[in-house]
Amino acid sequence: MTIRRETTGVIHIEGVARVEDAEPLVAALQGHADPEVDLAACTGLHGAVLQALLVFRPRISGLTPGAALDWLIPILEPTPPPSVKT
Amino acid sequence: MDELLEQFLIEGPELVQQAAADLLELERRPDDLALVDSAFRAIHTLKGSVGLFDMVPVGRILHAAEDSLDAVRQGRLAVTSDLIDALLAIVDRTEAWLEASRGGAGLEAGADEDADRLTRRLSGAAPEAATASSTPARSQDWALDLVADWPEAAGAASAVRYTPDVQAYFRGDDPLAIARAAPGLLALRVTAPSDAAEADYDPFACRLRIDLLSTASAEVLGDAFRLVRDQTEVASLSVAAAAPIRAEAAPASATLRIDARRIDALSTLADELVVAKNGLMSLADPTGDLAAARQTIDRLANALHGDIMRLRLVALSPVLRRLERQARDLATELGKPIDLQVRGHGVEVDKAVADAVYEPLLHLLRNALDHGAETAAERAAAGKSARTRVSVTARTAGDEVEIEVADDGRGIDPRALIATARARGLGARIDLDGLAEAAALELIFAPGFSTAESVTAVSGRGVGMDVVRTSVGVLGGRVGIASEPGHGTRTTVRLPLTVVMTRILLVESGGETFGVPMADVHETLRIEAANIQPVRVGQAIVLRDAVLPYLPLAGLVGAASAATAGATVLVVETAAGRVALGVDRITNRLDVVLRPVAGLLARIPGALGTTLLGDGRLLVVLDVEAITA
Repeated sequence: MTIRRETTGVIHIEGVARVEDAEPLVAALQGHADPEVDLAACTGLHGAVLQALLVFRPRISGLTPGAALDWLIPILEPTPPPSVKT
Repeated sequence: MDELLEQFLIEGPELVQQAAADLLELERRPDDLALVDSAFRAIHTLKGSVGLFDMVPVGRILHAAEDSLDAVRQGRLAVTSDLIDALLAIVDRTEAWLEASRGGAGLEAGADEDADRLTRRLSGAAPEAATASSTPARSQDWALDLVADWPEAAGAASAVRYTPDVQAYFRGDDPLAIARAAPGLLALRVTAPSDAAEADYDPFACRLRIDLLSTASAEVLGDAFRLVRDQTEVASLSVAAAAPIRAEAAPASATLRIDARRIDALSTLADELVVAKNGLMSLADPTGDLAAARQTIDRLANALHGDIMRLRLVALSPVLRRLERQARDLATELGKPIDLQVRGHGVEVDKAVADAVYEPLLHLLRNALDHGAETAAERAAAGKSARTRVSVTARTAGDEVEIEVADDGRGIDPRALIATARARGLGARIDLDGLAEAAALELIFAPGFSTAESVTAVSGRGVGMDVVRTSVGVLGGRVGIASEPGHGTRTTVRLPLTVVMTRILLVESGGETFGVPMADVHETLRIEAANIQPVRVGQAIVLRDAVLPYLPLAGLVGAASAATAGATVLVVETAAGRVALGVDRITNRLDVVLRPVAGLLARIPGALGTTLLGDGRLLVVLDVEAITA
């Protein structure tokens, strides 16, 4: 199990999150009004897990430059809604 | 009108102009990829905007043009004169359709056929692009958008858009892993629709969209994504990558778009301020403080007026570019090779002048091409270079703009002009026998005169040079012509840059007040009645050993003659020399904005214009030249 939910409400993703981890993650995200996800111990993640993070947009912590997953930083940065391309 | 459409109808023509200018320049420098990029961007933006409105045929032709330009960018298509012609035809058609939309009219019935014809012409000129446009060129749209707002794009050679299908997770694919394994990965962007965040969210339905940039070539990437080829689009950014970045990096031009009507309202207010200032000054005690402050108020009011007038200045370049395109089309139509040089794009003129000057200039240019320019064979026989040199040059000269249309064609033979004038029956009105050759050129401006031996589609549309002179005259300008038979013709249009303030003297004569432009007054002096000497049918005064004709203003304007105990004299400059103009007194000096005489007032002979005085009275400003003639 790589999805761990603390009593404080912070969801930790640890190790490599696989496709089957997407379901418990979504359940955890949906169970909280203002979820926070800590990726400090996460070393890899499946597209389905990233998709859940992109869709539910929890607050993300534990992503630091130089970490294994720092390539996720620009992707998970809160972005304004994309401008309409004409 | 729909606000969006209104905005588009402002921007659209600018984009059209941009595209046309780039294309024309591209014909001269076919290797300049920056021009291709610029034209591509203009057309791409146009196409995008057009898609928002009910203008399907316009969208179609723009799309075809975009594809061709894209093929040029990728080196799949060479720039030929045919291609440029076909693209310009599309740009022109687009402009015409935009113009029609402005008038509130939809596209005409034949629009679809027109669009077909234009795209066929383009595919005729760009056969390769037409065949290639089915797949890769189409895919460039998103790639262009992608690199436009992605700073990492500068070093990228290709871009991939990977949209895995919904079943991807079930099949065991990890799209993220596939994308991360792309060779030469430079930047990665993953998005998922946030509107999917609902209670019944299916964590195993793939909703990702992945965009990435790579330093690897499109071929290498295509190979890397071969297993999901049906879900990916790969685009080469060999040219596209750098160009949009350059455009983004360019400093945003610091301009504001302001409704011309607001500027007009502002300038009217400034005019009124000047008038009110004049009214105030007439109340001031000449020795008081207010009079002392007069100079400052004068200066400020004039500066304000000047600045507002400058707000109305617009670049002449759109007019010149339109002329350039027209000249090109006309030369093709007439089968006369020309070398066209257009200079003075940076010249700025009042918007009213810019709007109105196109037609007269086009007419001059038509004349140069139709009557002036020879065929290649004729030029060879005359020992000239094969292409007729035609130039349009705009420059500012003082407070005027001077636009010259010159050609090195066959010139105008004054004797032929006289003969034609005689044949057209102008002899009844004009003394043709006594006409000097130099003056014969002026015949061109006579109403009812047209030298075209055969009426062509180009000129000879029943509009003559007299119309040019009239329309330039309305703008406060004048037209001149010079020609040397066998060597070419030069026509020059001079127009005021702005609506200018005129400094006038207020004079009283026979109980009426008139304005006389200060520029015409050489000096003022008082003379005794005894110094006015009768000379044959008139009167004269002696001023510093020179004899000047003396003309009482009252007599010239039909006012009651006043007592002649003495007079104030304005020495004015006229074409015929200096004249002493007798008035009762000079009352003031004012800066006014001259309004053209209109309506009934237009019948008053010798009126240059009118202006409102501070107390609301209408003042007629005299045309010194006309009243003394």
